[in-house]
Amino acid sequence: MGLAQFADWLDQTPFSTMLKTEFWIVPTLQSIHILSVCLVFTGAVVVCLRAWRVMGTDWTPQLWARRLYPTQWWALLALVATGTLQVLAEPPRELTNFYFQTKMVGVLLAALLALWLSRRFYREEADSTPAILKAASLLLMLLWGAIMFAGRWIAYA
Amino acid sequence: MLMDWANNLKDSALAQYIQNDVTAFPILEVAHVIAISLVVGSVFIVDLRLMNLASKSYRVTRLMKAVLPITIIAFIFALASGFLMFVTQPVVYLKTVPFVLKMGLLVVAGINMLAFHLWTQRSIANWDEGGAIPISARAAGLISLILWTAILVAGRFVGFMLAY
Repeated sequence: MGLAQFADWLDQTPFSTMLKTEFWIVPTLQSIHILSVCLVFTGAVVVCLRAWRVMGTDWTPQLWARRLYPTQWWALLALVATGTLQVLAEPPRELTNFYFQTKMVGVLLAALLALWLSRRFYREEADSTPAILKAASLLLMLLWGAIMFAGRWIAYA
Repeated sequence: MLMDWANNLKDSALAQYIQNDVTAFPILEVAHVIAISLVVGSVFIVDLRLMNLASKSYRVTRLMKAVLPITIIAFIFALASGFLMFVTQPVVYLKTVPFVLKMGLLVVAGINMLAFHLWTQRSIANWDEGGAIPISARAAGLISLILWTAILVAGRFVGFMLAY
């Protein structure tokens, strides 16, 4: 069974039909999804800006990471859960879509990068940030921006 | 009068351009999502501090000074991108309940912020660093948190309930 056939099969399941027919479900899932995006993206932006000494210098980058990264993990969990349910609501539109597939690769890369960054930031007690962490935090911020771009573009592909 | 203005806006060259360019509206949507994410995320950081639930070792005034520039810049982008999306079908948006609700909630959030700056913030020296945060400041934080969540939810429902 190919991906397109699998998406069609999924589309016919009672659960997918229920997600589609109840008017409030998809917008509610999208609302939780975007709320989670707020937490994940703002966390990445603030830690990046602090690493580059643009803001929040009363705290070390380590303190900012300890403040924002745990929230980021919970939000990421909510993103995956609400995202999965949205895919189940419209499998053919999502699973075979180039921008959806790109977004999924991006999310995986961003999660791995965030995991690596959190481990490194938790160990760095200094006020200044090593160049590699500055670059990685900037990359993470841009990656989340690209993921949001791909996410919105799914509807137009 | 509002509908006359909306009708004129719909026929403007700007509205026509955004409607006719296939990439303009999606780009505006992406810009709006990125901007509103930063507005809400940064507002939450300050709200949770006012409620004394997070960032407790960061002085309130210093935290606001650090975070609010992000909020303001992002809000300007959200406002600009939101207005440019609005001009494509202003009459439709003005007849759409979640959109009107979103605008109303934005006004209330603005009033809440203004009230905080005009009254509650006067006594901030007493609780800026470690002092007991007054109930008015905690309430301002909680109200802001609820309002911005509601603004986000209303915004999401706009696309599903457009009153064509």
